[in-house]
Amino acid sequence: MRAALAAVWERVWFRPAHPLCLTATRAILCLQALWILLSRPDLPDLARWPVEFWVLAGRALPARFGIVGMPLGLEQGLFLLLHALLLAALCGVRPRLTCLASGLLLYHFAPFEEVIARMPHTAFGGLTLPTLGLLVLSFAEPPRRGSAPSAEYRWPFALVQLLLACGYLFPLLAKLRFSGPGWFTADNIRYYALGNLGVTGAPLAGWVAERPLVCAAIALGTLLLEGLSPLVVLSPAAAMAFVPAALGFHAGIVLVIGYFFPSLPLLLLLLDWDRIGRRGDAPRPA
Amino acid sequence: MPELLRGVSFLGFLALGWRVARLDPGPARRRAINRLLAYVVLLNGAAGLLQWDDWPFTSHTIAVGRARADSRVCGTELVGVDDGGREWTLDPYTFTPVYHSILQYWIEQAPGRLDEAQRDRALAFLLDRAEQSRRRLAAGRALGHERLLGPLGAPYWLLLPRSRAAPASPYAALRAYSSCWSLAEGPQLATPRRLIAEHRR
Repeated sequence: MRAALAAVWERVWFRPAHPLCLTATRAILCLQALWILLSRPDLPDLARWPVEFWVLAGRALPARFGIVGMPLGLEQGLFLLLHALLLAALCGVRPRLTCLASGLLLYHFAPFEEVIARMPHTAFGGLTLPTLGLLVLSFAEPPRRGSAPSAEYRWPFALVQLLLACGYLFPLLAKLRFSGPGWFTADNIRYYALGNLGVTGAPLAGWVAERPLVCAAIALGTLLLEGLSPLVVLSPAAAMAFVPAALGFHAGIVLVIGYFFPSLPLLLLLLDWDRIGRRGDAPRPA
Repeated sequence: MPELLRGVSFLGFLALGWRVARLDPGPARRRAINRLLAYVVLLNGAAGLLQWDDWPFTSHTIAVGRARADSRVCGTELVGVDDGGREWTLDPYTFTPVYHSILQYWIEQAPGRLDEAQRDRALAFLLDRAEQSRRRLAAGRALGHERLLGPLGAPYWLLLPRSRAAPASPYAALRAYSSCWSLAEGPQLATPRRLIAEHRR
């Protein structure tokens, strides 16, 4: 048993991978972070908000992220620096240093959007995986063009993929913990659709709520997609199959309950970059 | 104390990663990588299994409750009031970088912890922010995620209906109303709106 687990551990984390796995991971994480930051250009402005707005957050929570009442000009400077660092990391300039600094500044800025309410949904803001992923890449051996496949290019890539999969598995665990298996019933989906119809006005909420079979299919689909998500780390084929299923899942969520998934582009991390890289290296017929 | 533990957990991640980064390829580096991987898997797994959020090691808790016919949905509506007394529903990005649903948490929970002067200061700030956004909207300029990237910007995850209409004259007051409804009855049978906060210039 122990030997089998060790073999799985070795296979998941250390089977040789093409350097493109890390180059692609770095590019996807940087582009995702830049997209979110450019969509939140006012983030540093939170430094201007009066002290009364911090009454729920207290002092310890913001301090954990380095939110310690720095002047607005300094926050704005750091915010601009973060953009520059992400661009540099994207281009492969001093990748370890730029990934480390980007990750640390993302750790500082990502909570800004929700910190006054104690960060109820910061995990869904689209910066969680870039924060951790860029830090992981800063610890790893930077990929070099033309170098041979190596375990050094596997473990960071697989770790980022695992963290992505947790974004699907953990909501399943949370549903089971707080609601039990009854969450995955047609009735529950129906009332979620009706509840959000009155809040977000999602375009298909009313249509779905009137169709028990569609509600049951959504409940079952959610259970399967979230429950099978860890397979993306074990099998590239499972990862490739997961991508279109997740795209459909998120499109359905927007249409039925009106929740957008800002981390959607991160599904690109599940493409088989190892295979793509090896194919690119293969000699072409004359 | 919990925040200290969370901070330490993140520092532990950085320390283990730093150790990996400093070692050359070989058995010692492999051991360090294994320790980092085990740490992240265990810490992240604990966040998920125990639903103990330790962002960025997060529990991903969302939409976990069981919705039933008698479930009640409560919301806070923020309106600006023009000189003529007409109320205008504020766009959810009015207080950017803080989205409407986050400000809603604050409005529902924070004012009770503030004295009158503090409440006034906070609401006056919000009224100023609403006025800044009104001027942008009245001039045909975008708010929030659309400010730099236009329609390509990433919206906040909760897609509340937009409300881009804005009066030509400045807001004279800001009001917050609360109302609730049950899923069985629908929002059209909501309880009458209750004024929970107001600030006038």
